[in-house]
Amino acid sequence: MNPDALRMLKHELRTPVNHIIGYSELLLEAAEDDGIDSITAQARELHKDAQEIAATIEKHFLHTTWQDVETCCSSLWAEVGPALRRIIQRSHSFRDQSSGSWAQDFERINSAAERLAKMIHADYELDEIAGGRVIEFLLSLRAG
Amino acid sequence: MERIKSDNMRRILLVEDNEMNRDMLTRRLSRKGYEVAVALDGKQGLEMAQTIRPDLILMDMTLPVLDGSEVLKKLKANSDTQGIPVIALTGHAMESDRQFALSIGFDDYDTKPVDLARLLEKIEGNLAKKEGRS
Repeated sequence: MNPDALRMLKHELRTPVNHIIGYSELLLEAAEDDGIDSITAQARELHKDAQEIAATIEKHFLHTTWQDVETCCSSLWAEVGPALRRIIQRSHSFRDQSSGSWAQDFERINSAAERLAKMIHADYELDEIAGGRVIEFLLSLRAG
Repeated sequence: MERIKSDNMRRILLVEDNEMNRDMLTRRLSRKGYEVAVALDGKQGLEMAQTIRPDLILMDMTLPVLDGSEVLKKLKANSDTQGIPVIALTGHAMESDRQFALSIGFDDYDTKPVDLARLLEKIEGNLAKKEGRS
């Protein structure tokens, strides 16, 4: 794969993962300071899955070539899909169980996770927004 | 332009165009006792640096309107702002990115996702250097 395109692709994928990691760390810091054990435990679960996804993305694109980018994205979904689905489901559920700024931060994690899912997986459901943007993005670069 | 105000605090100017990154970092730094001013693009960052004279600037390298490297060049060319330490923040984690940032004059460099403990060390290290404490 073109090194600049790979760099941009990884950046695009990392951004929502960084949001999940950052907000779960923010929740952890605040919940630990306030002694709210339930939020601490929930934030830890989300953080662990997000770290796993970040490491998988990094590893996955080490040997990608232009020729196998579509395959690469679908196999990436196979690797990160379970953790990403867990984050989406849990952050949704944690948001409903909490209130105020806690709920807002779980909602931000949920929206970042859904954004990432839609980038990687063309068939990712939920609404009419077209998925598979990473593949479209790469194909447009290759065409250009 | 958003500000979280307080007196007797170290003032950090955060120049970041991504809303979630801005929100996260502002809140985490505020929790650690810093006053955080926020600019949404490079041009606004440059104007705010000249107006509020922060103790330190955290700046994303890829910014709309005026890129991070252009802002840095203007800050370092201005006698009023050249002494303010500027830490580059980027989502690119390659060693070449770090070398590039330092070669064009950033005082320090860190990557996203932010490791808060590591970033705080860099902030304090650069503030100490500026104040001649190291």
